[in-house]
Amino acid sequence: MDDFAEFYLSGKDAVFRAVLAAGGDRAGAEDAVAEAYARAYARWATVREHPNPLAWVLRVALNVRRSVWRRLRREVLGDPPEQPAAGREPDGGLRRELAALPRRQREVVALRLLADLSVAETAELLGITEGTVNTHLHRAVQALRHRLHPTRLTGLKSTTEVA
Amino acid sequence: MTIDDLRTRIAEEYGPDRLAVTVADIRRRAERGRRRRTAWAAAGVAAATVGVLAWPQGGVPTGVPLTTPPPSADAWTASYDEQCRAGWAAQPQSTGTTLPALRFDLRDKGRGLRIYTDGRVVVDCVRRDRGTPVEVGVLSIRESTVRSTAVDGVLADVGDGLPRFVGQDSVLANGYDRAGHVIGRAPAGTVRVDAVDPDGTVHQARLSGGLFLLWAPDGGLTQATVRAYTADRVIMEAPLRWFGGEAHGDRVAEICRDLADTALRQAGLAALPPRRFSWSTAEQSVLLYAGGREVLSCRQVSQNRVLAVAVAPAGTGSWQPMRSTSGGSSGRGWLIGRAPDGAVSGAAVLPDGTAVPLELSGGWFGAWWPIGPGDFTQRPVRIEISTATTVWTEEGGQVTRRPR
Repeated sequence: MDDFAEFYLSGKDAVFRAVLAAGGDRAGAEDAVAEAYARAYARWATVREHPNPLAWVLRVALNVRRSVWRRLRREVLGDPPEQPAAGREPDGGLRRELAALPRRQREVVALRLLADLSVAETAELLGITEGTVNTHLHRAVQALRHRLHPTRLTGLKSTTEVA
Repeated sequence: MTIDDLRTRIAEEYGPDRLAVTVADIRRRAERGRRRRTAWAAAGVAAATVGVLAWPQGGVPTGVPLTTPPPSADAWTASYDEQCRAGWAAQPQSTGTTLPALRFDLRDKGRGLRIYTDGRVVVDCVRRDRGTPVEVGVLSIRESTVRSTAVDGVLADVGDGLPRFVGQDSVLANGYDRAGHVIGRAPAGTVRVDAVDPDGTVHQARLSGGLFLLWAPDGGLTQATVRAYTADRVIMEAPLRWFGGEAHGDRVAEICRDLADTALRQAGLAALPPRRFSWSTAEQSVLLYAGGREVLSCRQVSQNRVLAVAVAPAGTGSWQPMRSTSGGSSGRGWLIGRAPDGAVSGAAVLPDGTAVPLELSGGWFGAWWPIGPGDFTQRPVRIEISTATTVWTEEGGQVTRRPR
C-alpha cells in the first residue's frame, strides 16, 4: 500500500464525520471529502510535506462545502443553509440540535470534538483566534445544554480547554 | 457533565458514519479534475486566439454602431469604487466614518485589489471578476490576523521585521489556485520587497509610504517568506509557524531548525548558523543564531506561534564589528550584533536611558529586555563595547573608537 492510500484509509472516516457534523447533508459531505482527498492526491508530493496533512484535507473539505453554499446562494437568491439540517435531519436529537447551531459553532465542535484537533490547530484551520475557538465551543455547549432533553445532558457545563 | 461527555456522545452518534469511497475512486476523481483543468486552460488559450484573429484589420470600421460597447475602465473603476464604499459602510467597524484613504489600487484583467488605510485601520476590497460583488474586510481587525505577524494589530516599525496582514483568500487557500495578498510594513530604507512561495515562485511587491503590498491573483503567498532589501541588508521573514502542545525552548529550537531548512532556505538562507543566545520566560522564548553572513532570530510570539527572521548584509559583505540587528514584540526587545575582537563587556542604551548589559558569545553580542505592550520604540539608540584597550561606540549608524 502506498503512503497516500495509507493516509486516506486512516483518516477518511474521521474527516467525513467532522464535515458531516459541521453541517449540510450527507451526500454533500461525502462529495466535499472526496473532492478534498482528490485534491490532496493531485498534489500529494506537496501535501505529504505539510505539517498536518489531515488538517489540510479538513480545510479543503470545509471550503468546498462553503463554496457549494455560496453558489447555491447566488443561484437560488436565498440564504445559505446557515441552519441547514434542522428539521431535515432524520437522526437523533443531538444531531438535530447540533445542526441547528450557527455554522462557526458547528465547525468548532466538529474539529475539536470529532476530529480531535487542538485549539491552536482549530484556530489556524478556521482562521480565527484561539480565544474565539474557546468562545464558540463554550457557546455551543451552552446551547446544546439548553436544547437537548434535560434528562440526557443534565448539568452539562462547559470548561475552558487549552491545546 | 463536561465537554468530554459531549465529546463521547458525539463520537458515539457519528461513529457509525463511514465514507464509502475507495482509494481508486479518489484517484479517478483527481484524474478527472486534472483533465478538466487542462481543458479549461486550453479553452482560455483558444478564446484569446480567436479574439486576436477576429480583430479588424486596419481599425474599427466607421459607421458601424457598437450595439454592445465594451465596459470602459472608468465604468469599471466607478462601480468598483462604489462597491468598496458600500462594503465599508456595511462593516460594523465603520461606525459611519468614511472609507480611509486609498493606498493601493491593483487590477489584473477583471480582478482587482484595493487597500485603504489611515495608518491604523487597514481595509481590503477584493474584486474576483466582473460577475461577482466585491468583498470588503478590515484586515487590522478581523480574525484572519491569526496568520498575520502584525504586532497588536498594528503595522508598526519593529526594526528588522516585516509585520504584515494576510488577505482572507490566503487563509482560505484550498489547494486550488486562489488569490492571496499580503499588506505589511517595510523597514526604514527599504528599496524593494518580494516574497518566495514554497515552490520557488517569487512575487514582487508594490511599495508606498513605508507599506508594501504583495498580490498573487492567480494563487500563492499562503506560505510565502517575505524579503525586504535595504541599502545594507536583506531581511527574510518566514511564514508564522503554529505548533501544538506545550511551548518551551526546545520546541522553539526545533521549529527554528525546520524553518531554516525549508522556508528560509528557499528564500536564500545558506544554513542555520550556530546558536549564540537564548532567553526564556514562562511565556516566551527568544533564540538568536549568528555565524558567517547571517543572523537569525526565532521568537515565540504567543503561546503557539513562532516567528523567524533572518538578516544578512547586502551583496557579498559580512557583518562588520558593532553592526547589529534588533527588533521587539510581545513585551520583549532583542539585539544581536558582531562584537569587536577582544570585547570584554558592553551595554545597549535604550531611548529612555536604560542601559542593558550585553552578553558575549563566539564573537557576537546580544541582549534582551522587557518593553511595554504596544511600545515599539524601545530599541537601542547607542551601543558601547569595551576591549582591553578600546571603547567602541555605535550611534545613529556611525561607529567610533576611543582609547579606554
